[in-house]
Amino acid sequence: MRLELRGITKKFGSLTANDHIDLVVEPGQIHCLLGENGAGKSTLMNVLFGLLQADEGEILIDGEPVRLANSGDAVRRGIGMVHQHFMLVPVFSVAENVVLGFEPTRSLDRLDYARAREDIRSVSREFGLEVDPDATVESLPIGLQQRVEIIKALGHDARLLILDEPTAVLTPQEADALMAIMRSLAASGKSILFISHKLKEVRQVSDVVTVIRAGKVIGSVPPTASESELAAMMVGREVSLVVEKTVAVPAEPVLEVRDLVVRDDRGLAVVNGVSLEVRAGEIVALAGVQGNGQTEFVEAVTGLRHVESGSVLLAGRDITNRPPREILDAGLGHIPEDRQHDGVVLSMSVADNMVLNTPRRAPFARHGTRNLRAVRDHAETLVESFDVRTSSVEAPLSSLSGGNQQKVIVARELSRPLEALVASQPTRGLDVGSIEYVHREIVRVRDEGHAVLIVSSELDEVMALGDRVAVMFQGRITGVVDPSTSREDVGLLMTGSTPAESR
Amino acid sequence: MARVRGLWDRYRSASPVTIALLALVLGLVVGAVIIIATTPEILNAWRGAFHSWGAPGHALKVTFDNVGAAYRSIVTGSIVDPPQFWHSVTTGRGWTASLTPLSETLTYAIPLVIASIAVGITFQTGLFNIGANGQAILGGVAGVAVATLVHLPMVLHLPLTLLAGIAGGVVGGAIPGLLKAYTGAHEVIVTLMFNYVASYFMLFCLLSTPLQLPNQTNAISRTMPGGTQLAPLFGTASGLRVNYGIVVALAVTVFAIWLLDRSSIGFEFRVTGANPHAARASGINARRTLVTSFLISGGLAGLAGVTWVAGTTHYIDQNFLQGSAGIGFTAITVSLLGRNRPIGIVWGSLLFAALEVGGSNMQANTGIPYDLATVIQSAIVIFVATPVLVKEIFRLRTLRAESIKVATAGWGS
Amino acid sequence: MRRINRLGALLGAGALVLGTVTIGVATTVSVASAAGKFKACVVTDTGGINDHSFNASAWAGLQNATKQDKNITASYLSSTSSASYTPNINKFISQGCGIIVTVGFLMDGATATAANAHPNQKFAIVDDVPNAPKSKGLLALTYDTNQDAFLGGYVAAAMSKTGVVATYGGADIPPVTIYMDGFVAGVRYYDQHMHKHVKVLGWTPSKGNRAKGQYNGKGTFVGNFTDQTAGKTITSGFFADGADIVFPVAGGVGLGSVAAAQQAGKKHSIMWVDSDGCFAEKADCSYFIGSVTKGVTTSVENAVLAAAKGTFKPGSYVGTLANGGVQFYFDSPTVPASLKATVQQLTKGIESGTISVDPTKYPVG
Repeated sequence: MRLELRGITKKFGSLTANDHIDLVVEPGQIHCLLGENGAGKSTLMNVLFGLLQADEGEILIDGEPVRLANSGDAVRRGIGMVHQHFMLVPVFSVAENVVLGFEPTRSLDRLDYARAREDIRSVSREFGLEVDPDATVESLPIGLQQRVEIIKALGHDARLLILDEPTAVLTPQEADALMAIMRSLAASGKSILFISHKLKEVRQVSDVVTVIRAGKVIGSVPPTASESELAAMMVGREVSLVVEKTVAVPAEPVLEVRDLVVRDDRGLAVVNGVSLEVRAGEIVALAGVQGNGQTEFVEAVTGLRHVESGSVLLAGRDITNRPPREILDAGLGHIPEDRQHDGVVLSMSVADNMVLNTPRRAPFARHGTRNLRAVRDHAETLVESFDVRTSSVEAPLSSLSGGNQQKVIVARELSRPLEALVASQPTRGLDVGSIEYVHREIVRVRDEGHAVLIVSSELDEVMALGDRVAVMFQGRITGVVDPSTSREDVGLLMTGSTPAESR
Repeated sequence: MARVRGLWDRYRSASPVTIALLALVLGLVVGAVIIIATTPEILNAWRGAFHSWGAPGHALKVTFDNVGAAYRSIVTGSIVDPPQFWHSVTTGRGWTASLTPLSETLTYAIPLVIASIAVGITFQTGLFNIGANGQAILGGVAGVAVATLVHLPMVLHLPLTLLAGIAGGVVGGAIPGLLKAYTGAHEVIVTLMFNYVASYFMLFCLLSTPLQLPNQTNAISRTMPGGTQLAPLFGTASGLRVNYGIVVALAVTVFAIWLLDRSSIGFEFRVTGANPHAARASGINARRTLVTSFLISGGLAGLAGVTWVAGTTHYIDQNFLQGSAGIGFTAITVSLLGRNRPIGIVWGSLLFAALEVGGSNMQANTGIPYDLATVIQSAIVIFVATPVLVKEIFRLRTLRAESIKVATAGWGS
Repeated sequence: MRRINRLGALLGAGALVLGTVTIGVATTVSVASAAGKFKACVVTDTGGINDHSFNASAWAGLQNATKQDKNITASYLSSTSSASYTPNINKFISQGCGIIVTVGFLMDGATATAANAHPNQKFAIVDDVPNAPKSKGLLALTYDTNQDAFLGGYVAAAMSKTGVVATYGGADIPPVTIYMDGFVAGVRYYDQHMHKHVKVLGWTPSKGNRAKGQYNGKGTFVGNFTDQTAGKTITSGFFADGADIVFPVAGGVGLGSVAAAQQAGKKHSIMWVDSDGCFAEKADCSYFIGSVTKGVTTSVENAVLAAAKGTFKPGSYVGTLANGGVQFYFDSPTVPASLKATVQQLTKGIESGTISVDPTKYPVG
């Protein structure tokens, strides 16, 4: 399919989300749409998939102008979409999910599962999308669930696939497999519109990269453009992509975890005898594919989950199974994994969020009455020094972009007296500019002599930030290595195998 | 011109206040439709509307006359009757009649403000206190008990009566609060059922010797002695019932503003209510917050109950806060109407009290059942609860941030 | 252009509301005062005029009066709570009502206060005798319903196949327990004279000065006059304990008893209360064996007519079998003629005072 967008403009009130966007996707092309969060990528995809109507401009499919009033129109025209959050019914089988809404039937309205299975097998064979049609979706790993989404789109005879940030939830291996599938689809003549803000994979797989910023197309470049070129186009200024840091000077251990055993909500020991030591002035990065106990490990350390056995010491003080308040006050900073869930209150102001875990502390309150001026002054200072982009400190946090919300959390945690900082997925979902910023702040904390523990499933981040890299697999630490170790070896540790040279 | 434009933009920006006012307008329209559909006189006029040239005009006039009479009665019965007021201003007489509507509205609004704030505080903590009515009943019973069974000088007796009311409500709030905190029992079910417990407990007390009016087999209490009553603001001779309960209501409002906007505990309430996960991660003790919120809410609900008795009847009987008179239930809707904010609740209470008082006047004057006022109240709450509907009807522009959120919901990034 | 349309829509809606209010100001004065007419007003309790009980009966009395005398107009105000008795009465006083009827003991205090404050205003109160020494215009309407309830108890005992009958009340208050008390007296009288042992569930009378309105005893009560589900549960329980005739004294709750009888099958029936069941609840007539009525409607009607004519006499009125203020109706065609004749004789005995309606005067059967 040849897709052409001409002058697409979409406004929300006074905000122009898309400003005269022109874009051409040729048949068999993998076209990447690159842009920061809030650049207007999602709005454009919604327009293209019929979920939003453009105020101006037209959409041409194979040279013919079309009107897409809803997603059904888009599907009929051969446009398929793979959402970042899968639209699958977890308890249904793969076959049932694929035919959902377009069920093939035999006489008397009986579902024709045999045909559904055969359709899936043929699509699988054609594009190398191996998946068992009878498996229930919830039993499949994320990577395979994504394949089901793709098969579903192809099952509706999609000739153009829109992939919205498809690698955000995948392991490095799964991401590589996806790239291969994308290439095979393109080779068979399907067009692919690929939305991302990860420079590495964009360069790896795209035929053409179109960068948008603030609702406007900045330009289209071949994938041979360097990462820093692309980043500069995206952010609008030069950005540093490598984490600049000096050699760590580790001092005494500050955060000591010994033989930690933690159970998850189902009662399984998902952290099974982890010992880890983080020294003042060093960054320890905990790597691993998501779901190997990292989340529960951090929850246990920060007092949010019961410790079955083992101990956690902060600056020599036992904080095992202490209430979160006591642990926070003992000087443990925490940047939670899911910031909107655990880190902030979206409906409250920036200023209130800045004192979320210190509301009773002087000068923010005295004798149970809050000092709103002190809270505001505090927030204004932090907004200034951490460069939080907000209309005012009284604005609700929900009005800030994801990156700025994360900056609020970083500012809050770093502005209280700290012994150690635990940061989970500190840059997840952030754009290049914000990632650079957060990384710099984390290094600064280290350089001020604090112990820092980073938990991340992004291998690049782990290798760039960590002074030591601990790899977690199925509730155990499979190895602690130097960041100069090869990516392949760390990847092996992440799958539980032990590379030859690792101890 | 620019100023008109500014006002217009403000109207279209769909602030909560605008929505509430427009919901009031829509509620009145709904009421008007019901009056039209149920008044035989109007229906007859319209039935004949197509038989002669002048008839449609007549039918329209009949419609306006009847609907107008009803709404005029609501206004004159709850705020002020202009001719009567003018009569008082010019002759200096009949002030009681002129001020009675406003006095009655305030009288009804007093306990409603207190009870609604009680409910609003739990709402802000993310909890549903459906048991405010039961807590108010316990407050009333405890207040009457202390007033009638203890003998003290007034300076001590009145405060002690009010404190007893608070204590009664605190007991009523503590039970669901502790049950939820320590056993996980759902507070909606516990508080809802607790209303029945409170009602029957009241009946038991009213039929037991210490509290029951002597020489009575009916469920009715002794009358509170004068020193424990909240006296009429302008003296008993004035004939106006508005009483010193208004001071209590104002104090509660000020307290609630401090609690929710300025206090540390209130901040923790709001954080817990808006995002319990973040509250926990921020070191807020969920159990303590929950129990404290329920204790404060229950105490205020109890205060509402005792304020109501001490300011009006001075005794309680089996109908105390039962059925449609259950202010603890009305408080839930008033709190929603006021968006759980003290000032919003004050306005909401005044509106509901005015509709209630005006509704009686409408019934007396026009024969339209008092229940129409309840219908209007309910319609207003429905419209306030569905701002999307109001915005569609008046073609308001949705707030920008919201529209983007809606448009991109589920798309991640 | 679009903007103007939107503005139009807003103004239109606003005008509709404001218009009705302002136009109303000019025209409604005539609605309020119907010149020269006698205004009869009733302040009902929280039950309202559709409570299937004494509020409805009082309102029916007013309406009957307007049919008798075209010069009378009727108005009512429902009380939303005990706190609205006084303002409602005051509203009617200021509207110039010729007579204000209040309903029930709970309005005792409010009625007495108003009657004392306005000695020339005519009041009638149903089911209560307030203490209002200054008033020259207060008529208290009370009813010796234990007299016709006695007849109901006798009939129930005679008609019972199982030898067990039952009663329950809406609340433990004299206007309710007086019925239950008379009912038990009737059953005990039957046992004593017919040498039978019919049991009564739901009310066990104890000693008390019945002449002073102390109908002491222990019994089964719903706690309100609205919860039909509770009525059904209680009645089904009585049926399970062997009763086949139940006498609910709880206003609308009695409909729950009817539902229970419906469910339990043919051999179970209900003794209706307050009004004639086959007239008030026509659809359920086949479940009623008889009705123990209280002449609220008639007595209120008479009071209103007298007030309109200027022959109103304050003081007290007591409805009895003798003056027709309370009556027993047979509703079931299965009642034998001999029993009806016995009931007529009992009526005479009660009227003359030779038969006592005090259950404690009879041995427990």
